[in-house]
Amino acid sequence: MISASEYIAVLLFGMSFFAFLFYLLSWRPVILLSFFFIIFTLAWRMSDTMFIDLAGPVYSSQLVRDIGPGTATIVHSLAYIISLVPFLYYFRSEAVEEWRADAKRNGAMRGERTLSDITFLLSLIFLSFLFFDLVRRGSIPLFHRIERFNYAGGHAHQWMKRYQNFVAFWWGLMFTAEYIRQRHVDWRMLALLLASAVYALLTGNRFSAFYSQSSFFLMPCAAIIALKYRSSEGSLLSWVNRRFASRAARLATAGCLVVAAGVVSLAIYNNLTNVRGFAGDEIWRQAFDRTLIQPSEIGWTSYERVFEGNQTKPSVAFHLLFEDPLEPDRNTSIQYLMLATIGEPRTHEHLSRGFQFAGGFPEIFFELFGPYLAWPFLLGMGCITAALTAYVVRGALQGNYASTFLSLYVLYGFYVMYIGGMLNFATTKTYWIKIAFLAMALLIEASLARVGLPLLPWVIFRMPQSGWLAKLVGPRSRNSS
Amino acid sequence: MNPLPLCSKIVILALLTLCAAGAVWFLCPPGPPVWRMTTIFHIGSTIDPDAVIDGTSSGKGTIEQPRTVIALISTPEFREAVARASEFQQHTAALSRRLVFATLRPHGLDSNYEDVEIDLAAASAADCLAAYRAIARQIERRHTLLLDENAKQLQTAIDDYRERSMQLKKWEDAAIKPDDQASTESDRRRRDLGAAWSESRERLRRLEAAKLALEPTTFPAESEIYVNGPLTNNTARLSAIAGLAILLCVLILTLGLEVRSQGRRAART
Repeated sequence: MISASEYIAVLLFGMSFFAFLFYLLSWRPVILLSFFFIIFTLAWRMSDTMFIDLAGPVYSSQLVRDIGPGTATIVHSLAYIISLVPFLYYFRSEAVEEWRADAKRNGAMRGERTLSDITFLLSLIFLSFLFFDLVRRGSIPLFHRIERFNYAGGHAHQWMKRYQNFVAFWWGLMFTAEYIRQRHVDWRMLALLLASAVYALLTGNRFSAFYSQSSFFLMPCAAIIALKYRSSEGSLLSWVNRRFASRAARLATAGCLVVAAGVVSLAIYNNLTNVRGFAGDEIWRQAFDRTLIQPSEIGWTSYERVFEGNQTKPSVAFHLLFEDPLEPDRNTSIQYLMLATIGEPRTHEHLSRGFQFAGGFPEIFFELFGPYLAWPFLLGMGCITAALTAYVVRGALQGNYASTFLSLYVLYGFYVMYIGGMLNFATTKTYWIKIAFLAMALLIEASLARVGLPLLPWVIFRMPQSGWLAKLVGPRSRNSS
Repeated sequence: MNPLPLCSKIVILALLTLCAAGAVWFLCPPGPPVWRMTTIFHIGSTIDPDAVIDGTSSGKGTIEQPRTVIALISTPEFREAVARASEFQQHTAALSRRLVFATLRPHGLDSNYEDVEIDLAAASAADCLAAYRAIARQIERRHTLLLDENAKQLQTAIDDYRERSMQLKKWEDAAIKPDDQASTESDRRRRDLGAAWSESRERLRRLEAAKLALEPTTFPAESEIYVNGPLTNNTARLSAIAGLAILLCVLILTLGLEVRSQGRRAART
């Protein structure tokens, strides 16, 4: 058991992280929304680490040992805050004010077809094919009790599985662009997101697919908040209260949340009972392990090794991360952490089955750089991530869609680092090619902006005002600003 | 809402950080120190009698494959057995038991295929050595059984070939009795018996030589083991304070940059 003072310290530091998140939610919502994918994970992990610290010893079925109690929360809470602090600078009010002033608000004229129209059309074709292919193959994972990673599907399914986050991001970007330029809610993009969520449900996904798609969709939507919300108007919560004053709006929001929670619960329950065959108490045990222990167990054992056992081996960590990893094509950080936690044979066994543990951040920094030198590196990573996120939001506001998308592509490497501790993403050639493309896009956009041209235009082409095509598409009234 | 003046922000941040540092310092006293031990043991050798008899190879191998030994030490059952069997000092037993279970790790070595590295941490140097003794006992007991079994197989093969060569010798002696009349058939039989006898002697010689290569698994003497410690458990506390210091610096820097940009904007307007 930990002492009373340590108990208080764990509570204090854990709650201070949540207080910081509450501050972001209330006063810096642009940060929260643009980085929601990672912030949600960090909050979840913080809760789990606190649980292990305070309720330990708790049994971890994956590690086959008891973990906790301890004071890992203190270090992890600080690591998370240090990673988020650079956002306060990059998203300072003055900077957001400047982006807002430069926001591209010129919409399309009547008869003009925009990037979002093309996106909708192509996405509709693709999603239709995706559903058609799912039905054509005859085995729908949700109904045929197939595990999501055992369902191969066709090429379209594989493509969607791989790039669904980027697709959701692009839909979110188009939704944002429509809102900023045309001043209306683009229900088409929301419908596409919903269709994609239904597809994820049918193909046996549980929680992560919905969470990641929604987060990536919301990410560019931070630009709408940047445009609409000013901190001088009070906290976000009071602003939302004013905006969603009607009973219908509140009921609709609450209804959506309830439906989403219900669908996710149903997907998880179906997976545990019908697909994996658990019954009775075992279902709750599995859900409990997956929710409260597994996300933080590797982090907690790493804390125990580094801070309590003084067993850091930076040279070995470096060797296994970058020089001679077990499987160089995958995330080597979690491989090292698994190896240090459960030993070589079990790690090989898991990896050969394509399975790896959750976690990796911030523990890999402490394993690699030691308990003191890790802090500047955590800060550095936070700075780069914040800068790239700022590019995404600024690009969405200013209509620089090429650099916005490429910023996300580069940022994705850092996302993988925050989710799974992966550091070897930076050692691949393709990553540097992405960086080069982003740099080129930024330079070209800056040059073109001087002559008033975008790299990726909003208006793609103009529809003829008469003829069969015009009749087919139908009248569409839009106002340019 | 009026924004706070810069100095107020800095004072608030400094006070908050100071409170956090105070909380870390006073609420998280250093835990008991730990000792850490790393050593390498050598897996003994066995002989495959069939390979020696065939003459295809020396027949030498390890008592147990290193990866099997590593797998064995990695199992929670083995770690649990070591933690239970170790004769820890009474006042540190509980912590050492937990530490040994959590930290005992085996590693294969690239440089030497027959060696395995083990490292562990315990609450005292004596406890490290106690855990080390327990590990050595368990592995040695297991390997002694395997080695004995292999030695028995080898001895059986030696006895067999010794008996066989004696029998052949007897037959050969019988075949070259002085009163025998020389004939092609008896010459051939004598030659065959001679060849079989010398071959069997050669195999016997190889088996006896191979027997000398049998070696048990050896652990270094306790006097040769370096136990690193006491490693104070102040790491978490000092690391957290280092983190807080960085946090404060960053926040002040952020405020400074904000002020600078405000100044520039004011100058522009």
